[in-house]
Amino acid sequence: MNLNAVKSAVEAKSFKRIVLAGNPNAGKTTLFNALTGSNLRTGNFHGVTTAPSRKTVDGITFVDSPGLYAMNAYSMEEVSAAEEIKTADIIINVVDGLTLENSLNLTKKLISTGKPVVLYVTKLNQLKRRGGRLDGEKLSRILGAPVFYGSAKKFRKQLLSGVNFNIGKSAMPLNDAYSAGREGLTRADKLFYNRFFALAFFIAAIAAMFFTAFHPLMPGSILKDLTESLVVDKFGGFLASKMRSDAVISLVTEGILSGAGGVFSFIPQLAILYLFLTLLDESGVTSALAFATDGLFEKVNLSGRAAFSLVSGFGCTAAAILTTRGYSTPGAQKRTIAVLPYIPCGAKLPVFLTFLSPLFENPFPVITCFYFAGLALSLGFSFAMRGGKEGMLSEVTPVILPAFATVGKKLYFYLKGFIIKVAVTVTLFCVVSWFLSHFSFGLEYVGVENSMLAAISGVILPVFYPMGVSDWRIAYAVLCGFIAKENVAATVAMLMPAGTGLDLAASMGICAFMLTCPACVSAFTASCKEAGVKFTLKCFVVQTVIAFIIAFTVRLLFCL
Amino acid sequence: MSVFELKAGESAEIVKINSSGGAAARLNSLGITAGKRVTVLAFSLFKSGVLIGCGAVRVGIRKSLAAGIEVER
Repeated sequence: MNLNAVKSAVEAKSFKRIVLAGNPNAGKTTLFNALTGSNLRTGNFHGVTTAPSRKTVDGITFVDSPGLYAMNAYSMEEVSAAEEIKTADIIINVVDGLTLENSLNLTKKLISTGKPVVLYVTKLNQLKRRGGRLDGEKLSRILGAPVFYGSAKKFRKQLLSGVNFNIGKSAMPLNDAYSAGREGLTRADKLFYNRFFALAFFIAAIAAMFFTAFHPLMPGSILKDLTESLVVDKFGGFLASKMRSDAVISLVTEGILSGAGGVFSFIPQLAILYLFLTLLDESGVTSALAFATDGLFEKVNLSGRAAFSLVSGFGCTAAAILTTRGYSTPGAQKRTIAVLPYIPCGAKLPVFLTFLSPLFENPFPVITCFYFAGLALSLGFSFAMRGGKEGMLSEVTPVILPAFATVGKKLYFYLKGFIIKVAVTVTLFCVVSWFLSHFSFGLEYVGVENSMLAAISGVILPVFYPMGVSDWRIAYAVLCGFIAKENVAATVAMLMPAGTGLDLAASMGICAFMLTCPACVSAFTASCKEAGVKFTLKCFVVQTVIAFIIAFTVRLLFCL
Repeated sequence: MSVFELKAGESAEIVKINSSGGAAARLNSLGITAGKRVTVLAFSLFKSGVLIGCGAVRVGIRKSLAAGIEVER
């Protein structure tokens, strides 16, 4: 490294581009979020970040890159990380304190690029807990590069006030600066790495998640009813009493409060769903699960990595599609993208509840069946499809008790995102729907039955007849699901305030359709980006046809 | 013998790695190289793969690849 050149570059503050690089799951995105005030997705899993992100703060561009082990790439995402490193003025090498010894292989390669390198060591609390230690100053002298750790805020300050790269190298064994502590398995590791326990635990955790969310005596349902009565009845009633015009009252109470507001009431149940998913992720259980269940995924030509994609799919299909970039075989990646829509995303939860709650006193068993059916369908279709086989060669993280602050923060940002989406997109959508459903083509204020929406939707209604649906409002609601699945529940709540009036067979049919139909526009876009437009369109058509066939069959079975 | 033939909990020293291309490079950068001591930590469902520990690094490896990692107890 040319020390003089580096030193003058820093003194002149000519560095404009700082790239965060390091092994997978070192904590790059967590640091990036802290340095730039962003909220990018983090997780205790190898390969959460699959594409670089950039953000400029105070004239300096920070770049978060996917994890990499070496400059010559093995998986698709590593290529983009290596590209980013080439453009860096300064590299922040984020180093996992638990596997520091091995991580230094990459550190040495980064230093040998000739660019100034700063080390930031993470997970020192965990290292201390298992009896290890780090002497940052000594490590810095061994490598000839500055070493930082601890508070990200403090690190940011030090970084911006200028870093001294002029460090005299001195030869000493790494043992003087670092000891790894106990590297063996903890009791929790042993349990979760056990294939039978891991699978049983996963099934039990998912069942517990649905039980807490959907059982009428559990917090999910109780809070949902409470929110609904507050938003729709109390607040709606209050507003209606203050307004005169019938049309305005209808727009506010039916259109906005019943529609978009009705979707708000699902927040407690979504919070429970997402809390469970976050706990699985942050504790490292998903990582252990991905290894333990690899045998299952091998049978459908995937690898345990797919477990991570599928579990992400319970949250959001579009986000789950992005996780597939960590695959090493394009065929396996495409196959996973094709089957991900069968994993019901968080936004499908209100849909199932809307159609099934009126029919079941306790909707927990039937909704759980739909979720597991979705899981089975996705594995089944992956088995039936051709394409390359995915191998397994991936690190597994230790199992830990997740930090309360991390889980709370993730939950908070997820719910905030949901609320913003409902407040903006779904509300806007509801206003448009309300207008279309209350005015005729002559722009007269009419009843719902004579509205232009009734006329338009009547055209597509016939394809839903075999499902037992003869009401155009449901056909319209289902169609709206392609924009965002949240719209389905909102539309039903708005247009059918007295309930759907469907019998059991038709409700099961429509839920089967919602389970198997293609995902929303954002998932479609993500799929186009990852797998190409042609492939995505093909999937869309095939999935729509299959969804109709499955829905007709399910309805027929329940009619018997 | 290969690392896949060890029992869970057993340790051995790697003598040779019969693998090439990207997978070999990845093993190398994970520190799984000849001369290193590895421990079998667990097997996955249907014994499709093995979890090995090498220092503080824990790596899940598919059977076909693990069969190419020769070890000596």
